[in-house]
Amino acid sequence: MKLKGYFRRDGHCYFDALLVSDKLRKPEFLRLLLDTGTTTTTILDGDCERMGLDCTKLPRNKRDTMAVGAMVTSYLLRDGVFVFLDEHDGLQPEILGRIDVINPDEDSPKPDFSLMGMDLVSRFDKLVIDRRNRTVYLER
Amino acid sequence: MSTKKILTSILESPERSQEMVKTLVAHRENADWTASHRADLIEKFADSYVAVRNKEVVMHDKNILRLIRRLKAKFGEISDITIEHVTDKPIKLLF
Repeated sequence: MKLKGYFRRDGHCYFDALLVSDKLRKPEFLRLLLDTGTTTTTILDGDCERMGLDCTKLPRNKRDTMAVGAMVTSYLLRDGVFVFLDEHDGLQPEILGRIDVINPDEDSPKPDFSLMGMDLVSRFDKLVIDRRNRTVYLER
Repeated sequence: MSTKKILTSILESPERSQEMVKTLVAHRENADWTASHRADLIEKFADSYVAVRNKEVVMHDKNILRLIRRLKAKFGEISDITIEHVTDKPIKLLF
C-alpha cells in the first residue's frame, strides 16, 4: 500500500488527509508537511483555528513542545484518525493515540498546513522522495 | 460518540466513504490545477490566499482567516475548497 504525497512550490513534501475526531463536527481536510524532525504529528495554529478546534476543551500537554527558538504550550488531541487516499484511491485510516495541537494566538503565523511527524512516518516501511521524477510516497 | 466509532460508521457507510474519497480527490485536483495555473494566479492575486473549488477561484483575500470566514458565510460548507497562498516570493520554512 502506498500513500502518495506531492511537492509544493516551497520544495517541501506534503500529504493530504482528512482528520476524524470526536472533537470535530465532521472530518476536516488537512495538508500535512512531511517533517522527519518532528516527533509527534502536530496540528498547527492555522489549521486549529480553521477547523474550529477548541483547545480549552483539550488537556494541556504536561511538557511544553520545543520549537525552533522557543518552548510553546501545546494541547493533546487523543485518538485522532488521519484518513489518507492510497494509490488506488481507497481510504487508509491511521489512528494516532495522541496528536499535539498548537493553540493560535493573535501573533502566531497560522500556516496553511500541519506537521506529519515521525510517529506517523515510522509506521511505514519506506519513505521515497524522488526529486527527479517529482514523486513522494510512503509504502508498507 | 468516540472517534473510533465515528470512523467505523464512516467506513461502513459506502456513501460517507465515497464522500471522503471525493473530498480528497477534489483537493488533489484543485492543488494540481493551482500549480499548473500558477503564473496566471500570481498575475491576478499576488500575495493573496485563493480559494479554489472545482478548479476555479471562488474567492481571494490577503488574510487567510478573513477568507475562511467569508467562505463560510457565503458557502456554508467549504470542505471541498482548497486554499492556496499565491506568491512569487521565495518561501523559507523553519520549525
